[in-house]
Amino acid sequence: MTIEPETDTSRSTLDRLKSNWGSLLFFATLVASLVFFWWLLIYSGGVEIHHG
Amino acid sequence: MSSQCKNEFCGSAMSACRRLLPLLVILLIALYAVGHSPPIAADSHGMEPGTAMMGGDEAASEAELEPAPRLNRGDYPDIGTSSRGIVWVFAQMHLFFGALVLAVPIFVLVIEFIGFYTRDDRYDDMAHEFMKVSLTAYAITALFGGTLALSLFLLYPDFMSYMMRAFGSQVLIYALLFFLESMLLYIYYYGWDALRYGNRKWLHLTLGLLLNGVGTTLLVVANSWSTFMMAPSGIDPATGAITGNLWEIMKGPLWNPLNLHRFLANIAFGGAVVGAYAAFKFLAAKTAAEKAHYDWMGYTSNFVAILAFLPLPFAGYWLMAEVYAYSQQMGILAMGGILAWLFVIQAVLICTILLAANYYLWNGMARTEGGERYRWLVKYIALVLILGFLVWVTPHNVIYTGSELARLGGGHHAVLGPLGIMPAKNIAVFLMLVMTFLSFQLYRRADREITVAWKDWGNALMIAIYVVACANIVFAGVYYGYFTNTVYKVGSSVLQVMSTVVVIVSGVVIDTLMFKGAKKLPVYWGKVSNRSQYALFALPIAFTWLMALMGYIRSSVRTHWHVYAVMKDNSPDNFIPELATVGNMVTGITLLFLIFVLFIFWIANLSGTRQVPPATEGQAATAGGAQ
Repeated sequence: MTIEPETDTSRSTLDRLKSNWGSLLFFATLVASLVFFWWLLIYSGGVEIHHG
Repeated sequence: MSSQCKNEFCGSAMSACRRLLPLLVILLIALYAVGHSPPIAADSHGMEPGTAMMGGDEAASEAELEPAPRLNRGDYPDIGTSSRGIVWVFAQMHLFFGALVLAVPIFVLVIEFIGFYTRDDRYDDMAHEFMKVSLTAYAITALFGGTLALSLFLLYPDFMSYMMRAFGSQVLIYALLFFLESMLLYIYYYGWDALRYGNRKWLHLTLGLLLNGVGTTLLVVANSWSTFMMAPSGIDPATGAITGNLWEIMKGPLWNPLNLHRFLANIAFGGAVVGAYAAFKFLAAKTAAEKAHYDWMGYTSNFVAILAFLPLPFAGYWLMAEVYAYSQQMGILAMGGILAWLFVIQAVLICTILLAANYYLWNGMARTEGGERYRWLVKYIALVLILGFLVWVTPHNVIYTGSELARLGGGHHAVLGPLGIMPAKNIAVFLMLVMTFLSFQLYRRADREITVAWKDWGNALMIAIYVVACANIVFAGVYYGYFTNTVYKVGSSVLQVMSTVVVIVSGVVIDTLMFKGAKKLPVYWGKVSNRSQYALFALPIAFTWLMALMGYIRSSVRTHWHVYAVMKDNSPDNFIPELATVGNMVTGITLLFLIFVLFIFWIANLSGTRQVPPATEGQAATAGGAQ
């Protein structure tokens, strides 16, 4: 998508990260959201669910 | 700054203030509620007021063991009308609007992402327009939420005090999340054009993701209040004293089933409501381009609604299974007692949704020349849907007169009687779902000419999967439903679910593989009958009615308990109302919501309307007169 084909070999990894900060931010937020919902909904937190 | 700019700025600021006002009201109510929760355990354990607040483990543990309040009729404020009726209306309206504003950004984000990925601005514009509908509904959601909270604190103060004691600071977190949701929503909507390309677009997508994360958290937090009332956890079952922490109170046995069910239902509902908006705009469109745009928008909405609707019965089964596991009495009351009658109405509404969705897809095949190839199949799909509809609405028990019973020769009709029980209904439901997927699959194939070398084998495999799945659904329903004992009867539905899931998953996989290199046939957006648009109106009406009905059932299984088996309801309304009252309430609330939806559509339409300047009007009149 916004990740350009690698034509300039002199560009450092840092430069590439800087130019693609948007996609990195999005996917990092996506992963953080998934972890958060796992913690909120699935992780038991030491709680055992009892049925009546 | 020019005066025009100042005016614009003031206008925007005023508009923002107006939108934030309802949220401030909610926060103030929440702060008030938390601040005025009774000082824990001071009275019932003979402690001095304030002792529990002084710290000290002993005082705290004593405080936590305060039992649930035992209320008398006099503990409920009498305002001269039914308190339950007032709360019922506000709660249901808040839930409708909440469902809409939480669901729309979910599929808007997906559509926006598709537009960004395919570099097709049409998706982006459509997603933005969907958000316009959601944004208008947002303020109304907050207003109904605030009114609901006020009503609850006014009419059920002791019950709310107990709930505040159980959930404590979580209520404040909820209010803060509401603020966050509002800010993200406005930035997401108003920043759409400012963050449109490159990294800025990614930033916009991230905001959308955060908006949905906060929205879904709001949903599940609010769900924990409902599930606590139905199946309380983290308490002493004998006294109702709060013994667990917030984590234990939230994670009751019904929480995640309700979370999943509401999450899917909200998306289906949101898709249906914005589909009606698209139909409204389609019918009002003056140009071919407008018709094409709103036809495509309506199709996308229907696609979203049906995609979320197909797995909804499975989530419903999970929820009901957990209800039965928690309390058989509660489960039987819902599906075998007085409330079971409402499931017959549920059947009518779900069948209406399925018929409307299928009808829309069949009409949609007219958009492409390739659709003609599959038209002959429509009558057979319709036949299965109608037969399924008839089986599903056949009641098991009907109240007969003596002469009717004599003519019938017993309590059940000899032929139609077996259709009144669950095995027959399960067969009907699953076959209808399979047929709906078939309509959907044919629609997807209508604008393609498959070219892969193995297309005959692929088609043969797909047909075989349909035949085997349908045979399995019928066999499992008939054999295990009528010729074995009850344990197998319930278990047979698992086979039927699996058969349906296999059809859907294999259909998607086989089609994806077969569509590789397929020749695309032209699609004429806008070339669809006006009749099909009325199907898009039928969907939200049926969905709204269904949500009001099923929400009532879910809530009323608590019977005469505020919190099931822990805190008794001793108000004048502590009984299950007669079915006619339920029907009138549910229908009245549905109509009220639909009136508000029309208002929202009107407002959304108004924002795109620009008055012609008076001079131009005069010139136009002169020009017209000259001609």
